[in-house]
Amino acid sequence: MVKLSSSDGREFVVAKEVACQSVLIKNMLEDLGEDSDAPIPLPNVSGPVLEKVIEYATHHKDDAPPPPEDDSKNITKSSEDIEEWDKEFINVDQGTLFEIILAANYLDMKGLLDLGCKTVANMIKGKTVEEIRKTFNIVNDFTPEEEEQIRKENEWCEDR
Amino acid sequence: MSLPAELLLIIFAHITETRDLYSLALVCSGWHACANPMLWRHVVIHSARVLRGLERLVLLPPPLALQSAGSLLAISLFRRTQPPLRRTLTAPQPTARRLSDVGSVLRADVRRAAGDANGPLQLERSMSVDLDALARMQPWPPDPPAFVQHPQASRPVWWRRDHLGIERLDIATSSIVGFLSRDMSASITRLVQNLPNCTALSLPPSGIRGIDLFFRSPETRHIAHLDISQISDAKRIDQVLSLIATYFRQLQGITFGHLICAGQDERRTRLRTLARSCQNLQSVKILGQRLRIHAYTTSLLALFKHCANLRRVHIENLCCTEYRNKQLEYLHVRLAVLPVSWADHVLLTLGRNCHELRYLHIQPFPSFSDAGLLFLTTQCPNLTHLVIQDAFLITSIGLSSIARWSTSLRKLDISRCTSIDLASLTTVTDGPVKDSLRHLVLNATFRAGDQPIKVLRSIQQIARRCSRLSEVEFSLPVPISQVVPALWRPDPQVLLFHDQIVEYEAGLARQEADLAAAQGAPSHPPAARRGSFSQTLSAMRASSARSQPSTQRQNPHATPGSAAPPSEPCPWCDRGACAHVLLRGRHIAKFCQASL
Repeated sequence: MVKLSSSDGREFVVAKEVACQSVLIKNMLEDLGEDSDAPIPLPNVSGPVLEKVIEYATHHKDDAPPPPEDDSKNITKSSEDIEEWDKEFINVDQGTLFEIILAANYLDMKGLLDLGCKTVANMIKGKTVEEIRKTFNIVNDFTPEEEEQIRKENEWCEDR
Repeated sequence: MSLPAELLLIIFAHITETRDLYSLALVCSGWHACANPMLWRHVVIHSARVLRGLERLVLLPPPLALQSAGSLLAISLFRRTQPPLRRTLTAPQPTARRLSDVGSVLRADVRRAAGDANGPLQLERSMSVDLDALARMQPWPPDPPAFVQHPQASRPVWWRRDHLGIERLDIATSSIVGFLSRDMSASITRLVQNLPNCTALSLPPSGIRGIDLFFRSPETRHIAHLDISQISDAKRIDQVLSLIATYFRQLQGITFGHLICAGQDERRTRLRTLARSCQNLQSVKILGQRLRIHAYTTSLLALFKHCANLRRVHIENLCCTEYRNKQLEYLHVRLAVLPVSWADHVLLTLGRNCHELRYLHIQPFPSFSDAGLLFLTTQCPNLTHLVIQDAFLITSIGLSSIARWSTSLRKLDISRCTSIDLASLTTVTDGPVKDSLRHLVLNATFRAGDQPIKVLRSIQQIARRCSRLSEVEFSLPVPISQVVPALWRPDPQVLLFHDQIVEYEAGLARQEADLAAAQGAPSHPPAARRGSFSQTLSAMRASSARSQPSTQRQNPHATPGSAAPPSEPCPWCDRGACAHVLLRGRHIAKFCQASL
């Protein structure tokens, strides 16, 4: 068993194979050695997010390791291709989604990072510029001239 | 809350549509910086007007007033490489004119960064830049893009120049207006000369005059992949072929159109010359049109005979039976016209010559026999991908030779190989292949008389034996829900039937329910709309069927039952009501445990 401590001081006890889904923790455990009982501090991950991450890691602990690079090259990267459980798992509000992505990036969990990024990519697809700004609450920082310049440069995108 | 740029890059990498990337580039400056370089990697030009616009943009010299030109160049070198955090990178060398424009300071900077102060900077196509030196010059991430007043432009110019990162340029103009003058070839030539990253180019359709200008220029030789499939004028093809043979000897990949088989005798000579002079050629793609008369083309023989280093061959709707290239690793042939009988000639030639073959996709090719397959599998032990659809002569003997000899096979597709009887299907696991197989496709491999439950049991047996199987695809002669309701009902995700259709119809039903709720009117049964959906679907199929030879698909005896999954025409067979099943990852484990 491995103890993990989140940024807000909460401690989680998880099985080693669950914790080792994170390459970061796996490397830490290897460095610390087997006998260490001290909790592993994860200052970049808050308690609720860590809970979600552990839920994901527990569900995916029996997964086959990702196929080697030469395999994945042939398979087209499809962002529609998300499993039902994963879809349900990642169906959270945007703030949490972003925090999960950041945590997955920090903890180096490829599967979870991919899932989060695919979900965000799916939120973007087919939307207009205005809709994207609204969805992600982004302020347009272009001046009208800049925007026109971009449209002019990227003229080929609109030309059919 | 916002995401850092490195994560934005990962997210945007999942987005492939030009339209979507373009929207992203317009959202805000931070997203622009991430999305715009991706957008500019592959550019498709649809009109002469836009081509001229692009030319103006690319040829605009960098403004002299720009103080930090040196670091900007360094950034753009940095930015154009993927992944961005490599220690050293090979960056394209800017053209001499651009270097002189930004002044001697920049030249010194770049040379220092390259660690080679006296190197022949202007003669090299690429140079290696030490990122540590680069990092000292300019921190990452770079400053936001600057607006500068350019002496030659009427208004300030957005100084990003992502368009210099174009890697692939497709000129797909449909109108011939603008192509009648020599200007067009001059434009293309100038563009390519100034796009050092551009390695793939697709030439526009016929009518383009003076194309020799492009081939003769010494500054267009960084094009490694040339697509001439759009050219629809036989004379022009001849001209281009001889120009390539004379000037473009560096070419690594080439894409031909169907014209390559017209006038076989003249073409054969030209192809032989081309193959002999372009010894770097590694990849050949031939996109024939459907129902051309020359399905088998002897002119291709010359091409394959003389290209010593050929590794990848992809042919659509044309064929050649002689592949004697020792290095061949990848062969994908799809025919629209069935040759009458070539027995095992292709397999035997491949087995005799191409021992490096890894990927073989031949479809439809009905005349393969077990003997040919046995020979191929013993001679090409490295096969990882084997697709032999419609080979109706193959029996369990062929399967057992695959099982015995193809020790690294990962994908096996024996769709419509109907001579394999159900009882002997499991022979595929009688050998080392069971430890390597990951993807198995058995669409319409089963006969109408096969009992679905027995089919499922055989597949389950295979799945239990193949430890690394991650995807199984097969179709059953009847809707599966009638056979194993227990398997279907409790967990619909276990079996995905024509998956998109189910999803689509569920969405449709939801929409209609919402609509009905909003209007307070009784909801339409989803079946009412199903007819129109079936029509669009069959239209879709008809268009996709252009590439598939086999059949005309009649609308099946659709059973709009309530619990039964929709029985749409099966894309793989003519039988109509067919359950198309796709099992992946965890679902395979569940399927293995299910008691049938």
